[in-house]
Amino acid sequence: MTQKRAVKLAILAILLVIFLAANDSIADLIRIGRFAPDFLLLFPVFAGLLRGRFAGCGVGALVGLCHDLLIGRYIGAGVLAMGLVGLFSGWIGNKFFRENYLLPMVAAAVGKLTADLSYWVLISIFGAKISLKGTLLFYTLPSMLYTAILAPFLYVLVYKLADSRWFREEDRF
Amino acid sequence: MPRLKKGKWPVLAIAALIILLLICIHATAGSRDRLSLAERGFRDLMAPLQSGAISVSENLRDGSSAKKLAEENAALKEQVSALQEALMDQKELAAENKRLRLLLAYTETLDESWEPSVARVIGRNTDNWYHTITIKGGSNKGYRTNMPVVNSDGLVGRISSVSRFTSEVMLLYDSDCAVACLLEESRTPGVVEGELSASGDATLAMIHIPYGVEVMPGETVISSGLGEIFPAGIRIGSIVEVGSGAGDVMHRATVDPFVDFDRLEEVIVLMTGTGEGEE
Repeated sequence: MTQKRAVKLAILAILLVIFLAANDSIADLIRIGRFAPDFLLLFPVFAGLLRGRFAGCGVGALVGLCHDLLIGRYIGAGVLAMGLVGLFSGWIGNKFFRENYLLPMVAAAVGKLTADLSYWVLISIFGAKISLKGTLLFYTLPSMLYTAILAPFLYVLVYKLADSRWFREEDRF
Repeated sequence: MPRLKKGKWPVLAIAALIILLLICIHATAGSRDRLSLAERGFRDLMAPLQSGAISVSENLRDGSSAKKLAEENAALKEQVSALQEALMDQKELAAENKRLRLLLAYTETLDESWEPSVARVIGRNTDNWYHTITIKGGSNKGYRTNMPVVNSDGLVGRISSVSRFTSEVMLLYDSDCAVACLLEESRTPGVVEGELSASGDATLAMIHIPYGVEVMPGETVISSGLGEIFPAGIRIGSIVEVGSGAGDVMHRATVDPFVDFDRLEEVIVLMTGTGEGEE
């Protein structure tokens, strides 16, 4: 691993840790009723869109693992769910132009639905009793809408950063 | 043991990883007595960051709450101000209502030959030369010069000039406003007129009191009806002090008027056919 690549990974890790720590606080701060954004979801979504499905899947698994470790229950479910989101985002990123700003909106919306549904399936298999209807109606859908609306704005920033000279694609993780 | 093809290793690795994760999920499902080392370490690492994030978030929220509170405070102040204004208006209306009732009651005591008309005071002459007020209503309401003006306390003065929509009322204090009067009990005649006291204040005096008549302080002075401008029997004031100069053949007395000329808001113009029309 080159030094530059190590620095990039460190930046990603710091960003991830910051967002992991501040995800609930920031989301709570800008929440509108039940509508709160899911910033963590955007990590695998953007990684997948900009750097392909393997990067997306890896970043997703990392985000999921951090999330699981913090929650302390069903460790691994988040890894799989978020990994799936990264994989899907990478796949959709290869199908369309990544300059299309509708892309992050769709990827975030589908990603949120995928993450929550797969997470629900996984924890339900292992004994969790959580209403799917309630989760979808009162948590997933509002959060999905908010995150999807927010995604293009953040995507512009991340896209510019990823496209900068220092973050060239040839140095992809 | 058969050898796996090179391309199948990643698939097997992913499958193994998934199985490992599923085992992990199963192992960590539900509540546990102890957290793993990785979990404890990660949580301890994240704790100060989370605490800082919450603190910043709360500060931001408090900031916006303070702004909201300030806005709410301003809105409430505005509301209080509006309510106070409404309350003042209501008090004003109540006071006006009371005054108008008194005026109405007073008009019922008047001779039927007088037609009372209530007029609002809209101006006040504050200089030392003249003592007049301006009332709303002039020739448009049938007001004419010399029509007497009263309120529920007594005689106010007479109309000195009339325009189409306003009238000037010469108050009793005015030196040009002389009123034929008499003492209510003794029926002693005299004239009430305005004069300037030594201190510069306008006062009322009853002059031309015959010398042999005993006048007591506190006696009520009323209009006599002589001169055909003011109706008879309207209260003017009470005697405060009686005196006479050396060599005077008549007494003079200081009169304290019943009407508070500084607080006139509505007056009654007593309309007759005897006034002189003027515009």
